[in-house]
Amino acid sequence: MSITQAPEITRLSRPSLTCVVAHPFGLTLGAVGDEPTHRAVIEAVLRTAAEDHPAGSVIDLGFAWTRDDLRERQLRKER
Amino acid sequence: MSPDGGDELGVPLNPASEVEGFAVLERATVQRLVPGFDWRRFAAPSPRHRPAVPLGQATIGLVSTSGARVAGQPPFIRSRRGDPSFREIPADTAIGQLEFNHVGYDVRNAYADPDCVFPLALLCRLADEGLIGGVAARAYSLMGYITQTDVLLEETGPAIARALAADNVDLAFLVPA
Repeated sequence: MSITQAPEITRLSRPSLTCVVAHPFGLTLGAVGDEPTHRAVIEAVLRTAAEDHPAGSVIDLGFAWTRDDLRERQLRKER
Repeated sequence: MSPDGGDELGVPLNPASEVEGFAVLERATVQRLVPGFDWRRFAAPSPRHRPAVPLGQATIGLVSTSGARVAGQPPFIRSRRGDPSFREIPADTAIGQLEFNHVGYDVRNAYADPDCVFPLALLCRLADEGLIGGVAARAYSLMGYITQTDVLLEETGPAIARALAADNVDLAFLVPA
């Protein structure tokens, strides 16, 4: 069971089951100190792991980063 | 060109999203350091095995690419080719004993709150609360910039898998940084 922040790259390697979490690199589960979000991500991933999905599934959990434009800048490889 | 309009290796030529664009940019960035680098591709997905026990009874094994290590272990190598090695981190490691180094993200956030990328402590709390059965005795950490994929596939990955099996892990949880 894995998480990805870059599903297009993940789809090339085809792990058994992956959950998309659209958070910045380095803040995979959420912001510093944001335990509710960290827990929500883990709980959603674990629920997905217990569900019946075919091998290679990439499931978008719906987590998005709204605090700032860090993720967008990372995806454009801006400093 | 692939049927979906991608390049000869399947990476989108005209990214429809920022994430697709990142795959192209990242590959180009790595190729400046490691000429000829490309994403590893597989024709078929890895097999899927649902946990054999309910989550409340399952032992979760954490594998992270955050570059975490226990104080005293050697840091990951910062080089053009990356570092395919891993560190074994006991589940009872105190947060203050965790160190991080990585070429791909700002580790200051990880030092401030390791759960952001290495949620070992949080998984232990979830076990205490009964959401999961338990956490494996050993967690594993890699540094996510790895261009030597043969080593990863033939040595590092199997070594971690054997260790997870030896610790009777019901579900391996891979967390990228």
